[in-house]
Formats: sequence, C-alpha cells, structure tokens
Amino acid sequence: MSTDSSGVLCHHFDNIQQQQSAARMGMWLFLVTEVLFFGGAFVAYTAYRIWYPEAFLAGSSKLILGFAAINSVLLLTSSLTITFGIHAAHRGDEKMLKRFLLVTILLALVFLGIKAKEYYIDFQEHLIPGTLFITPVHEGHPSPAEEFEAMGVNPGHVQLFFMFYYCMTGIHVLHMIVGVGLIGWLYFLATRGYFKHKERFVYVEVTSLYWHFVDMMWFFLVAILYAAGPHKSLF
Amino acid sequence: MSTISALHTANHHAPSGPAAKTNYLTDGYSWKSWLLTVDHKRIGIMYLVSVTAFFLIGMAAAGLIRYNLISPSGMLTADQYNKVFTAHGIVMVFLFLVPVIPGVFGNFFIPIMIGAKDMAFPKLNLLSWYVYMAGAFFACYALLIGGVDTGWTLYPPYSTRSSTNVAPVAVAIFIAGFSSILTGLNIVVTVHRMRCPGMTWFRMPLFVWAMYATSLIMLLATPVLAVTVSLLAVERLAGIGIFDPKLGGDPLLFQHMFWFYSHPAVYIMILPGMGIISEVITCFSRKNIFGYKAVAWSSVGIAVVGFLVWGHHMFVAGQGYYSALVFSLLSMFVAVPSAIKVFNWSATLYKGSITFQAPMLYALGFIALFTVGGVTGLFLSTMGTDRHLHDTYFVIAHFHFTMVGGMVLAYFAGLHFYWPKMTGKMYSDFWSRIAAILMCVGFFMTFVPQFVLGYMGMPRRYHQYPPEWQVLNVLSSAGSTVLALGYLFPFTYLIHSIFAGKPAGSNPWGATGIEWTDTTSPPVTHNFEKLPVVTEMPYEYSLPTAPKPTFSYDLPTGDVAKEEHTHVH
Amino acid sequence: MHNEDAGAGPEPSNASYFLIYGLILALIGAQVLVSMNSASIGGAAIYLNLLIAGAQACLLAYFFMHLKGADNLTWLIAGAGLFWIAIMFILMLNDYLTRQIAAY
Repeated sequence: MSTDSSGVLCHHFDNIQQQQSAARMGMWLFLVTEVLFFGGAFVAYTAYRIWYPEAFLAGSSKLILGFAAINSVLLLTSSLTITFGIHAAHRGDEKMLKRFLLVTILLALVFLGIKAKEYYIDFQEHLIPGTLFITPVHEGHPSPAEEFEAMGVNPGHVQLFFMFYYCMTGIHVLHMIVGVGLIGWLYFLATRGYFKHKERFVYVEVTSLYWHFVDMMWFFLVAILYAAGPHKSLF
Repeated sequence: MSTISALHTANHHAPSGPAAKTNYLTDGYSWKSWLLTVDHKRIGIMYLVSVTAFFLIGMAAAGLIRYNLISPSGMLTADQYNKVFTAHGIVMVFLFLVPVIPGVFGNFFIPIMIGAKDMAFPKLNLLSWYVYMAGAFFACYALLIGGVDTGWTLYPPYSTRSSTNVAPVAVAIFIAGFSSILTGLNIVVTVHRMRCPGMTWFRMPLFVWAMYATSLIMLLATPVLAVTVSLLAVERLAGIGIFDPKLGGDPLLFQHMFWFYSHPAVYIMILPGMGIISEVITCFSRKNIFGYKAVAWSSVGIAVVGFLVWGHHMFVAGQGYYSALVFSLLSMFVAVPSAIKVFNWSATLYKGSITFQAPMLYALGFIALFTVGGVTGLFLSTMGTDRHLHDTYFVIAHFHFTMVGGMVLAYFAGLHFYWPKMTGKMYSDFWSRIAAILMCVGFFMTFVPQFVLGYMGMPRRYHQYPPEWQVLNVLSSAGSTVLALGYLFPFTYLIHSIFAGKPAGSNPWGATGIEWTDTTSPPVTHNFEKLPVVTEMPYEYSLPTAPKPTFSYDLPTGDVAKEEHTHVH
Repeated sequence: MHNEDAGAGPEPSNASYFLIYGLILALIGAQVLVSMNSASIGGAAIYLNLLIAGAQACLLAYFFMHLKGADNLTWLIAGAGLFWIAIMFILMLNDYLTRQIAAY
C-alpha cells in the first residue's frame, strides 16, 4: 500500500485512476505467479496420481471429508464478507468495512482451528509419512502401513499421497495466515481513518482478489485430496 | 560516502551550463537517503554495487575451478572441487546473471525510457533489493558454513542425502527468486501503465521490449522454482519426500520441475543483454535498427517458446523417448527468434557509420560469441549428438559462450554505454577498449579448448581427468587469467572516472531516446525537468534532427557545446 | 490508454452476490455427494470433482473477482496464467503418460 504525505495520489502517478489500475494489475500479476506456484505442486501430484491411482484413492479415503466441506463453506462465506467490505469502502463507510473485515478474519481463524484439529487427528492416527506410518497406533492394532498393505495398495505410494496432503494444505495454510495478516492490516488502517477517502477502496479490492484466490485453491485441494477418494461418511 | 562528495565537488566545477542543479546522486548524502530510498535510480546503483560484489565471489570460485584443472590429478580434493563448482554455479546464476540487468539497468532506465517519474511500485522496488540481499546473504552463509556439493542443479536423491548444507541453499534460492518476481511484476505494470504521452508500444526502445519479455519469464517461471526448492527443503528437513525412490518417488520429477524454471531462466539472463545490444548497435552504427518489429516480437517469442523446451536437459536422465522427441523438436524452434535478432543486428551494421568505442567492441564480441554459443546449442538439442555430448565440457563451453561471451559482454557493453549517463562522467577511451579486447581474447582462450575437450569426451564436474587432456586444460586455465584481468580492468578506469573523469554532458554518444535527449547526466531525481511528449519513431539516426554527441574525446574538456562556444568567439 | 480505470465495471448488487454464493455452496454439496458415491461412479469421480472445482473457480473469478466487466488486459493476464499452467501440465504429463510405453 502506498502512503502519501499530501493526499491519496502517490507522487509518481499522474491521476488516481492510473494508481488504482496499477494496483489491480499488480495484484492480478501476483496471482498469476501464485497459480504457477500451486500449479507446480498440482502437476507433481498429477504425475504420481497417474502412476499410483489406487494408492492415492486409498490415502484420500482416510481424510475427513466433513472437515473439508465445513472449511469450504467457511472460506466461501469469508469471500462473501470481504466482498461486502469492498462495497463499504466504496461508500467511505469505515464502520461497516471494519465489521466485514473482522468477520472475514474470524471465519478464517475458525478454518485454521479446524485444520489444526484435523492435523492433530491425523497425527493420532499415525498418518504421517516416515517412522510413524509404520508404527501401530495401539498395541495389537495394525500400523497404517500394514492397513494399506492389507487393502492391496503399496504403503510407500500412500505415503507419497500424504506428503502431498501435508505439503499442499500446509502451503495453503501459510497463504491463509498471510491473508489474515493482510486483512488485519486493512482493519488497522481503517481504525486510523485511512479509508475515509473513498478512492482507497481499491486496496480492499486487491486484498479481496488475493483472498478469493486462496479460496479457489482450497476448492481444488478438496477436489484432489479429499473428494477424490471413496468416503462412506462425512466424519 | 566519499564517492558522492567527489561527484558533488566535480559538479560544482562543471564548466557547462548554469550552476549545478541537484541530481539523483547529490539529492541527499546520508545512509538513510540511500538505504530507504524509493528512487529507482538509486536502487539501480545499489543493485550495481551488490551484484558486482557477488560477481567477484563467483569469479573467485571460477578461479579455483580452473586452478584445480591445471593438473590431471586435480589440485584440490574431490570434495573441495564439488563444493567449488557448486558455489560458482549458485552465485553466478542466482546472484549475478538473473538479477543483474533487470536490477541495474532495468530499474535505472525503464522509467526514464518510457517517460515516467518512477516505477509503478517504488517501495516494492526497494523491497526487491532487500529481498535479494537477504537471499544472497543466506546463500553466502550456506557456502561459508561448509558449502554444498551437489552442483547448482541440486538433483535428488543425492541432494536429499548429501551431508552438506542443501536446505539453507534451497531457502536462499527461494528468497532470491522472490526478488526476481517482484522486479518482474514492477516492470510489467510500469510498461503497461506509465508510458508518457506519445510513447506507444512501437516507439519504445527495444531495451524496454526485451525487459518486458524478461519480466514475463520472471513472473511465470520463478514460482515453479520456488515450489520445487520448497519441496526439496521439506524432503531435506523431514527426511522423507516426494522425490524419494524408496517411496516410489521419481527423481526425474525434480528435474522436470527444476528445468521448467531453469530453462526459461537462461532467457531471463540473455534477453536483457540482447536489449542492450540493440541500443548499442544502433547508436554506434548511426543507423536505425533493421526490422524494429521483428526484434521486438522476437523478444516475446523467445520468452514464450523458451517455456516449451526444458526436457532437453534430461534426454539421458530417463525421460520417456516420446517425450524427449517432442522436446527436441520444440528446442529447434527456440533458435529461430534468437537468429532473427542476430540477422537484424547484422543488417543494422551493414552500411552503417561504425565506430569502435568500448560499448561497440563488447557488442560486436557479443554477436560473434553468442552466435557460436547458440548454434552449439543445436548440437545439444539433437538427441543423437546429445547422447555423446551430455555432461561433457561441450555443454559447459556452450553455456559459457552464451552466458559469458553473450550475457556478460552485453552487461559490460551496457555498463560502458550507460556509465556516462548514470555518473555524468566519461571514462578513458583507450583503456576501455583494451579491457574489451582483453576480455574477448581471454574468453576465447578459456572456452574454445573446452569445446574440443567436450567433444573428446571429458566429463564435467570431475576433479580429475586423463593426462592426455592436460594441454587443453592448461590452455583454458591460462585463458581464464587473461579473462580475469579483462574483468578487473574496468574497475580501474571506471572508478577513476568518478573522481577525475571529464563531464559527459547529457548525450555523450549522440544516441536517440528520451533517456539521452531529455535528461541531464546524471538525471535529476524526478527524471525529467519537463514531461516528455513523444512524437518520433525510435532510432531515427538518419534524420537531420538526429541527436549530436555532447562529448568528444578529441576536445580538451570533452564538452562539445563549450568548445564550440569558445571557438566561435 | 494507461489512464483508464482498468478493472471494475458497475458494481453488482448484494442479491446477485448471494445468488452466486448459493450456487457455489450447492457445488460444494455436489462434491461431497460425488465423493460419498464414488464406489458407484467409479473412475470418473476424479474428473467430476475437478469439473466441479473448475466451475466453483469460474464463478468465483467471474463474479467475486470482478472479471465480469474487467478490461481486456485483466482477461489477458488471467488467461496467461491458465495458458502457462496448461503448458506445464501438457508437456510434463506427456512424459508421465508415455514413459511406461516408450522408455529408452
């Protein structure tokens, strides 16, 4: 975000439309880099999915579809609230803007809380590649590796699936944390009267572009990690 | 900063024009005014200083490589040698070749060339320098605490099992890559949104087209490198990962993802150099570029087609035969836009009024050496010959011809061309030509023997070799000392020019372009006294209204206007 | 040309945002249904899921990210992102799909 000593227009721009359009273009270009960043991981996943389809389906069936669905709804709702935040900023209505930003952050934090719980459950079930994977959860119980072996899939390949699960959802979580930080920064600016100038709505808009992108990535992650495998129940 | 005070004093004594105005160099002398600057020109100078420092480190590593190879049994141990060539690769690729021209000349000149007051995101520009420094320091830290011995390409499974410091290097590359992305983003938005009135796309200097194409690659390719080294770092730190054959992982997957970036990366390195060559060739043959649109579009063409060819690095690595065939065919296509440029530069030279100052010597060297490097690439993209030449010194010679004979020569051409504009001072004509010649001779001696060695089968990255190849290796190492001398020479006369060089005037070369005709040397902080309005096509050297040089080596003060004034009266 | 306000067309009404929200919500439900019935759907399940995710992404991009009414340059940038990711998919998977058949 550019600051200025004498108004809304930054010194190197000729007019406010140029400044706003530059901000939007900058964010769209950044999102393209993010598409390529996530895309690299998606391609790698696809390569192995082509080679080891049964193992990947088996791994996916162990993930909790219900959490994914709830998280999808939370993130989608937060996309809605931040969009309403842009409208508030358009009108120069800082009070409503702050409310919408706060709700967005809260929804995101609930998402992260559920994700943390989910990771903890995965840890308890020893669904972590490496030594834990071949260690039984309780005495006499088979280890995840043995369980998958019994299903007829290669446990090594299933561990590959779980590597992708943790890496890709982990990268997504990091992006969400950054997003929460950005929205928090907007909230802080709103408390200082930054958005009293209606032209500055564009900074809420570019942040929302980033946030919608994070939402989009989540939908694809659900599709390939959670929904791909057979699930008998939501939880 | 005594350099700046010296400039200040020198400006005060400048004979021409009214009392010295402040320029971007004299506009504040404190540490804060530099380290917290948002002026794109100062950021360019900061890049210049830091990039030069890392170039010297990379040169030192190169020196150690050539030192090792003067003896068939190797002067260093195998372990030391592995670390040295890895360091050379990492420092030269990520800390020098990728950031140099975008960071130095891109930042400094793109806003001026299109008539803008600054880049679109000045603070992001400063951030990109700090991020670059962070990545560079991380890389140096990794090299100092024991280095890495995997080669700059970091292939697993060795890189995941090596006892050396792979994870810090992976993190360093990630951070440096971020700097690249920020620079590219800034350049694309600037070129789209900040051109002055009359500056249409086809009136821009070809350097800007080249930088725009480079920025497209930086934006699109670097994130894939980022995710690749992240996954590598995870595998290093977690002890398990997606490239691990024990789990059914595919080491070749790393190579696919790595080269998806690293092949377009070589075009990140060379395209800006090609942009500079277009500027220098036109100026020093006093002639319009032959085929402006062809050169402009071929830059974009190189950027796009360069993304389709990465598999040619993996012909013998285990790729499927059909996939290799497709990549081989596509690699043939990427030579076409580069060839178009070489043809057009040659046609520009034809019947031009050619003079051989240092920038032109470097540019001519570029055309010759880059062409050799380029055509030898075709040997490597042909699957049959690549089977023999892969991982030999032929490959090393090929990429050093393009990167050193090409890119580094172009960088020095740019440095010598733009130095008077950036500093307001002119350097020694004689010594700069000597340096250029030394560099070309040294380069030749160093790298031509390597083509022969590669053809004869000498493998790369081996610290020992059969004794019958010693003569060629010693020749190459001897050449490298001449080359090193050539690199160090400019330090002497360029730095000397800052203190005692004659004032260059706003347009010492008589070049076209608003960066020469509408700004002072050095430019003022906001670039232009008056907002330029562009009405002419670029490179109109043949018109009677073509710019005339403001500097001449033949005159005592160098200042053409002053001497004419004195002479008339 | 660089002075135009690139990006937003007329701002859509709140009601239309709720409508799109509802559509995407329905698609989330569809994804869950596909996953819970993938035994009967078989191999096509993954393609169906990707299609659903793609539809969600399109709705999100077109309405929430204001691609609707955006200028040509924004569409070009979004298109470039898709094009380049397609390059990576096609050329890389070319190897993974054919390596078993045609290795050295």
